[in-house]
Amino acid sequence: MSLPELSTIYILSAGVIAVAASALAVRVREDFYSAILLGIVGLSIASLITLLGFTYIGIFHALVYVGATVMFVIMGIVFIGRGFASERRMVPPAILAAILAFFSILLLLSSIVSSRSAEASLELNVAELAKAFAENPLAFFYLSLSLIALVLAGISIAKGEVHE
Amino acid sequence: MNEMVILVVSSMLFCIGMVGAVIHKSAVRVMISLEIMFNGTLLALLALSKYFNPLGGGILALYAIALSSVEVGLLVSVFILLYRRSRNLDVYEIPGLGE
Repeated sequence: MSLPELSTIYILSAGVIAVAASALAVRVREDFYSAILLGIVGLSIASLITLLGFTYIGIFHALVYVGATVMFVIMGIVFIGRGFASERRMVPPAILAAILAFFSILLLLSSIVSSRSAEASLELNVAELAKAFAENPLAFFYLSLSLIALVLAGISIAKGEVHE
Repeated sequence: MNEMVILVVSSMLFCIGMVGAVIHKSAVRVMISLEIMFNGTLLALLALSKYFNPLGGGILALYAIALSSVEVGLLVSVFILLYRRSRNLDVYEIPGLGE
């Protein structure tokens, strides 16, 4: 069994950090810590962009996005005052919709990436996206289910069935 | 394997941001969730453009990052004004909208 390459280990670690920080940013109670975690997500994404080979864009993302944007969000939260998150009780349909959307997006993206070997000069446009949908009916099915879950949750909010 | 890891990470970021944007009532938290979704989308854009059109994808990514910075600056200003006016940042109870 061969050891994985060093770049693979870096990409895996940055990916795990990005996903964990984003999950914490959504779940943590205070807005201030959520903004700090958004900065960590931005730094992880900048490192992933750099590892993909887009060095200047990674540096630009770290400087402009994390250095300016996230700092501005933190400053705004400090102006407003530390708020606490309040959620509607519709977490289960939202998580269901997100899981279905995850599988749909992953199927579509992986089919687009796998098609590059067949046609090297493939253009990424709306027609190709429509073809990817036509070739992956399961992705279309998952996306439809996800939208149905969100619509049902929206109807329950509009009817006032979901309270804090 | 690397490209698959990147695609999984970008899809997961998009879906986590989607959950946050749907379940939160605070406008600041919704904006932060939308920013997480933006990060996932940017990563997917660059991962795909590496195989199709690296130059075009890179330029588009630079535009997207710059526009996202502008958008966040504008939104934070709106939130501060809104908070000064109503002492509340609940997206379902914005004054002037609805009844």
